[in-house]
Amino acid sequence: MSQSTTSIAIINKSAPYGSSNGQESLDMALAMSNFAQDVSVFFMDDGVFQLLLPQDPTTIDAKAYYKTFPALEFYDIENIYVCKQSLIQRSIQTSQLCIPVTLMEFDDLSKLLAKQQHLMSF
Amino acid sequence: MILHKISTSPFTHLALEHCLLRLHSSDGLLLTQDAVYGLRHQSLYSKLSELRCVYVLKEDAHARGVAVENDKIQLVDYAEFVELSLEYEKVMSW
Amino acid sequence: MASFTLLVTSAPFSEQSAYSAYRFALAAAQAKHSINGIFFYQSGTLNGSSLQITPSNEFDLYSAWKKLSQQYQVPLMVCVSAASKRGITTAEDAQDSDNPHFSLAAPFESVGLGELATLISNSDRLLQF
Repeated sequence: MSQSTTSIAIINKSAPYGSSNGQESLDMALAMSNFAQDVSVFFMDDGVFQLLLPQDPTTIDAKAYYKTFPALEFYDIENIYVCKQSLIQRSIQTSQLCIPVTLMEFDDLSKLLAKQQHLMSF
Repeated sequence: MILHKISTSPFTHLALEHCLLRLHSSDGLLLTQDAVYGLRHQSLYSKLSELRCVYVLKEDAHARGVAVENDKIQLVDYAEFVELSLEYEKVMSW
Repeated sequence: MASFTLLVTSAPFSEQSAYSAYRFALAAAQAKHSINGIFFYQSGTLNGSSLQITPSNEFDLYSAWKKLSQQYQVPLMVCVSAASKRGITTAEDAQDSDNPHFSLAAPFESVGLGELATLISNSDRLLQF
């Protein structure tokens, strides 16, 4: 089978550590980008907790995968969107996030996803 | 033109509520598995009734004894679910 | 006719989603659509365990996946990294790790995430369950 570039949105709705969703979503994003797919990453609802600093998962023997987020741009993943209302609800300022992000309103999601061919959510 | 597929009960999980916050007027909403209990949710039910395209997976609703008593909400079986996924540009699983 | 990739991220039996994916795949195949592949990721990889024993009066999803694969030539791909963390390994993995046990057998295949990228690129729709 031939392979052409497809745009994929990877949507994070889960907090880190309580489930494997965040870590396996990141693995997925890196792999898809590695295999020449155009990847955008979205964080909303509890997913925004994945970006919140400080974190020290060594206390629960979990992998500090949040340290990979700043490297996403080196994997050609440049479009990172975060739901503004999800941050506000959780009293999070953008300055507390581990990477620079683009904020989106509730009703931006559908518009942004409209540009993507496929969606995955974790 | 996204088909939003929900599969968890709105009495326990926030997926349906979170989806409704972000639903675009051209999007569709498909309730499957425990999400069919959304039809018994007093406050969300009125919101669902106002939407243009709400679908409920027939097999999952029948299994749970959940009846659809609203002309605006369409019961679809798996074959129709397949076609629905093609009518919309993409499917988001919440 | 359209082409589909299904991404199954849920464990069998504990939740309904993997079964829902099977029903969707069957309905799509019966409608003459093509299923490019079913990709099992996260806890979905547990669907690949050949060690599942289902009581005879319950629905045997493992056998159903195999039958679907054979009848409609649907590849059943299991993500190797997600699977190995969950005890889903092939005979080859078992040999490599000096472990006498393995749980993944044909028609399920152990593959990398690159296979999913290829499946998606060639599909009209991706559905996650």
